[in-house]
Formats: sequence, structure tokens, C-alpha cells
Amino acid sequence: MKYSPAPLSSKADASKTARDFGALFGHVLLATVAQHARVVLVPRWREPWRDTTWTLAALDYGNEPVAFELQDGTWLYVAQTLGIRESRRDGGKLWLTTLMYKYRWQATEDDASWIVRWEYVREAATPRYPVAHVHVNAVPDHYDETRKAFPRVHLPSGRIAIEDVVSFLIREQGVAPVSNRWGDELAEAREIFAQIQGRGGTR
Amino acid sequence: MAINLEALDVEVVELPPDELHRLLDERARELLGMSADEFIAAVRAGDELDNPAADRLEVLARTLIEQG
Repeated sequence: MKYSPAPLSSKADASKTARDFGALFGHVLLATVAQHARVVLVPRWREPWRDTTWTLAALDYGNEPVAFELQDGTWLYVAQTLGIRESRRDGGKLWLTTLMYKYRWQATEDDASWIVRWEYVREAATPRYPVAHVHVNAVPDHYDETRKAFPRVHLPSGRIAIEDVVSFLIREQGVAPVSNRWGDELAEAREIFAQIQGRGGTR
Repeated sequence: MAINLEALDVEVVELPPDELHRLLDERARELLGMSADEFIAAVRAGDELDNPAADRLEVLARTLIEQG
């Protein structure tokens, strides 16, 4: 794989890079755990072009974000909002970045059957909770129920990559991988995602 | 590396902003009982809607929110 990402300097750059990111995101899912998923990139073009944002998600054919079925019959909802931001590392050059992600593992197609949610909002207007956090749809036996409902608690986390979620599903939840190369696919994708976002090398 | 990025592609759906807004409005009214503008305002404010359908639609709202 030859890939030499550079900071974004034009609308065409931004469009190409967002497409690369989206293509890789879809590949990660379809090469590892998804039976089928219509991963779609929806741009919201703005002027100046650096204010453009993209929805990257699995959509149904009415373009509504939806969960898709995994190899073991459980379901996964994935969505990102992409945007362009200056890097503090390299003197303010522009790179594609994730402004928000939501990954939700659920038992069935029904939204209410969610088990774990991994979420990140880079620029919350009023940060009331950790920007990267996890929700678990359970209540520990000894949790004081007069506190905030446990599934609504924002458990602090680091940023979680889609590769981390996929790895969790295969390694710890026994979701059958689509191919035996799933580990290599995830490792390579992690490196490319880092390059696209100007983070260079592996995390 | 075995992943050939040049060989991969993603479906791109170009929805005019008013069409994206209409889609969100239709789904937000049906699933959440609120308009797209009300939902966008709630997302912008960081309100917790405690509704897994809201969680699913949020990506559309965030894409419509003006940045900066």
C-alpha cells in the first residue's frame, strides 16, 4: 500500500481524503465482522471549504443511520462526523479529523437493545461529561440506585478507534471474523487512519 | 501492507442541505416527537435525550450544525 497523505490545501484534497477515510472505514467493517453494511459518506459542503463536514455511517436506503448485523447475529451501529481542523503539532496545517463518533453494540436491530456505547464529541458546547466516554446498559449489584441511572453515566475513556471495537467483538465476544486476516487488516487500517489524520505512525 | 486504498471506494451521497434537514426533521418527529431544529438545538446544548433513537440520529444533526 502506498499512501502519502499531506495536509489539506484545497477542497479537492478534502474531498479525496474524506473518501479515502470513508472507504477504509467501510473496509475495516466488511473485512472483519460485518455481513453487509452500506457505509456511506454524506458531505455537507460549506464555504470556505475548511468548514465542510461529513456524515460517515451505515445508512439504510432512505439514508437514515442504522445498525447492521454482525456475523454472530448481534448488531453494530457506527457513525462519525468528520471535519477539518488545524493541527497543533505542525504549525496549524489542516487535516481531516473525527469530530464525533458513536459506536453502539446491540443485541438486535432494536435501538433499545443496546449493550455498550462508545462515544466521543470533540468540541462540546458545554462539556458536561468526558468528551470520550463509554455507556454500559447494566446496573452493578451494589450501585446506589438513588444515583444517576447507571446506563446514562458517562464512564471516562480514551478515544476508541473502530479497530478497537472490532477487536473487542472478535476477541472477547466471539463474533466470527469474516477472514483470518482480520488482525492484519486492523493493524494496517490503524496505521493508515493515523496517517490520514496527520498523527503519523501507529498510536 | 495488503490494504490497497486505491482499490477501495465508498458510496458518496450528495444530499442538499435542505434535503438532509428534511430527512432529519421527518425522522426526529417520528422517533422523538421534535422538529429537526429542536433536535439540533438539543444536540448543540449537549442535552441528554435518553433515547437510543436520538443517539442514532445525532450524526445527521452534528453534520448540519455550523462549525466554528
